[in-house]
Amino acid sequence: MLAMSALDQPARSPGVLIVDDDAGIRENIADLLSTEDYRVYSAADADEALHVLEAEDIDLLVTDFQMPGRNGVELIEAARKANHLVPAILMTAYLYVYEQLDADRRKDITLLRKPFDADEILHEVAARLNNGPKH
Amino acid sequence: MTIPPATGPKAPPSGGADPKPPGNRRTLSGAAIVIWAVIAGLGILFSVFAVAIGFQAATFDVMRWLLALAIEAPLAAGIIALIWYSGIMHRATAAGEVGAQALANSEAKYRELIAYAPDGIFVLDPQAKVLDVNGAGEELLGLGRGEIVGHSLMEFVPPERLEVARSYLADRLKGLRATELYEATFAAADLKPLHVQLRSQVVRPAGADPYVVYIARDVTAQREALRNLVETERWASMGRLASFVAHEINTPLTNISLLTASISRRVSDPEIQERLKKIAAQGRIAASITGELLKFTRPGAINPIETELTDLIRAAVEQTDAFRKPGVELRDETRTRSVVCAVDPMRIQEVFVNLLKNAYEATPHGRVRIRLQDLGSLVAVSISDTGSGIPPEVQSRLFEAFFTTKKKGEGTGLGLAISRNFVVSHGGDITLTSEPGKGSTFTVVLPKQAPGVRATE
Repeated sequence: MLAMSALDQPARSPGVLIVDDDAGIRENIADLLSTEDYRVYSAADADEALHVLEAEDIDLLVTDFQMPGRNGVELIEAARKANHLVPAILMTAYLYVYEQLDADRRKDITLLRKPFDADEILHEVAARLNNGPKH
Repeated sequence: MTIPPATGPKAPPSGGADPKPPGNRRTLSGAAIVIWAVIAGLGILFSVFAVAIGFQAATFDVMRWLLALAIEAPLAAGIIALIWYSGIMHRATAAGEVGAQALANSEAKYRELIAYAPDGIFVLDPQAKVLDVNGAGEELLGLGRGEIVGHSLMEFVPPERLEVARSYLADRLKGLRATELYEATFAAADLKPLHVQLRSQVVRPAGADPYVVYIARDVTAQREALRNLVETERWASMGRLASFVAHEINTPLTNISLLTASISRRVSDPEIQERLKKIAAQGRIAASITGELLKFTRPGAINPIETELTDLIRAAVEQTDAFRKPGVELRDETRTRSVVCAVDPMRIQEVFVNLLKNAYEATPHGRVRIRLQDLGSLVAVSISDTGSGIPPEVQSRLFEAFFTTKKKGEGTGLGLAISRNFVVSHGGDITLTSEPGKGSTFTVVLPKQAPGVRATE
C-alpha cells in the first residue's frame, strides 16, 4: 500500500542551523533543541554557516544579527542567493534592525527579540518548521 | 543920596510878610518824599519779588544795586525793577511753557516706552490691587486691561504659589528683599502655567501710599527649551549606557534561560522543577528590564504609515486587559469612531499600552475612560482614570526617565519617558492634568499628517 510505504519510511527530523558568535548561546540553543526531535548544527559566523548550508540538509536557519564579518541579515541574503530558500529566525536586541528591512526582505524572516527565553525559541522554531515559510 | 526903597518883590521883609512861598515849597517837597518813598518802596518790593521769582545767582547783586538805587533814585529804581521783573516773568513764562511742553513730551515718550515694553509691567497698590498694566502685561495673562486693572494680582497666581507670592510682596513692602530676579508662576487665561522672571521696585512718593512696580518677563519658552536640551542630553547619555548594559546582560540572561529549560526537560524531580521555574521567572523579570532599556537605544527613525488610530487603541486595550482590576470599568468611547493618522503603529500602540497600564495601576476601583477628539489637523486621545491623582511635585517629573513612584521591581520608570519620546518624535505631545484624590488624564496629541521624520533619540 502506498500509504503504508510512506509511513514506513523513517521520519526525517528537521535540520536546524544555529549561527552565533557567542559559544554559550550556540551550545545552549543546540542543547535545548536536541531535547526535541531536531538535527542541530551550529556555526560561529556567516562563512561557516554557508558551508554548513552547502553540506547539510538544513530546514531552518537561526542566526544572530551582530557577528564579526557578515551580519545575520547579510547571511540570510547570501543564503537566498545560493538558493538555500530556508525560513530564517533573526535573533537581535534591536527592533530597528528588523524595521529597516523592506517588506520584501522581511519575507521569511522571523524576528526573535533578545533577550528571549527557552519557550519563545522553541515556539518560534516549531512554528517556522510546521508552517513553512511565513507569508 | 538915598537907597531906593526896595521894590516889593525885590525886598521882601525878612519877617515873612508873605509866608506862602516857603510854605508852598515845604508842601511840595513833602509830597515828593511821599512819592519817592512809594516808588522806592515799590522798587524794593519789585526787586525783592523779582529776586524771589528769578532766584538766579546774579539777582543778589542786582537786588543790592536796586536797593541802593531805590534810596538814591527811587523812581528810576522802581522803573528798572518793573522792567527787569517783567523780563524775568516773560522768560519764566516762556520757560514754563517750554518746560510744560517738554514734560508732556517726555511723559508721552515714557508712556509709549511702557506701553510697548516687551516685559509686562504691573503697578500695584500695597494690597496687590493692579492700578495699571501695559500691553505686554495684558498679553502675558491673556486678558484685557479691564479684566486686570482693579483686580488683585493674586487672582492670577495659581493656588499652590499664592503663599509664596504674597510673602514676596509683603517682604518687598517691608524692604526685606533686594530687587533680585524672582521666578514666579502665573496662570494665563488658557490656564497654561506661565513662568516669569520678576523684578520689582517699591516706590514711596512723599505723603502718598507706596506702590509697587512689577516687571515680569515671560521665560516659559526658555525654560521649556532648556528643559528639552537637558532632556535630550539625558536621553543620549542614557541611551549609550542602556545599550551597553543591556547587551552585556542579554547574553548571560538568554543562556540562563536556555540552560534552565534544558535541565527542566531532563529531570523529573518535582522539587527541582519548582526551583527551575523560579529561576526562569527571575530571568524573565531581568529580561523585561533589559528589554525596556533597549527601547532607548533604537537609533531608527519612526516609520509613519496611514493607520486607523482606533485599531491601535483597541489592540492596546486587549493587550492590557490583564492589568485591569476586578470592578474597574473600562469605558472606551473610541469604539465607534474612526480617525486615520500617519503614525508608526508599533510605537503609538506602545504609548497607549503604557498609558492604559498606568491608568489601571492607579485605579483600584472606579473607571478608566478613553476618549478621542478630532481637532482638524490634530487628533487627541485622552485616557482618564478615577485613581488617586498625581501630586504637583510628582507631575513635573513624571516624564523623566527612571522617575517612578512604583515599588522596586514594579516599574523601571521608563514607560512614560519612552512614550513621550515616541509621541514627540511624531511631532505631537503628551500632556497631563491631574487632581489629587480625583484622578488623572493623560492626553496624547498627534498630528494626522506625518511631520518631517525625526529620530527617536
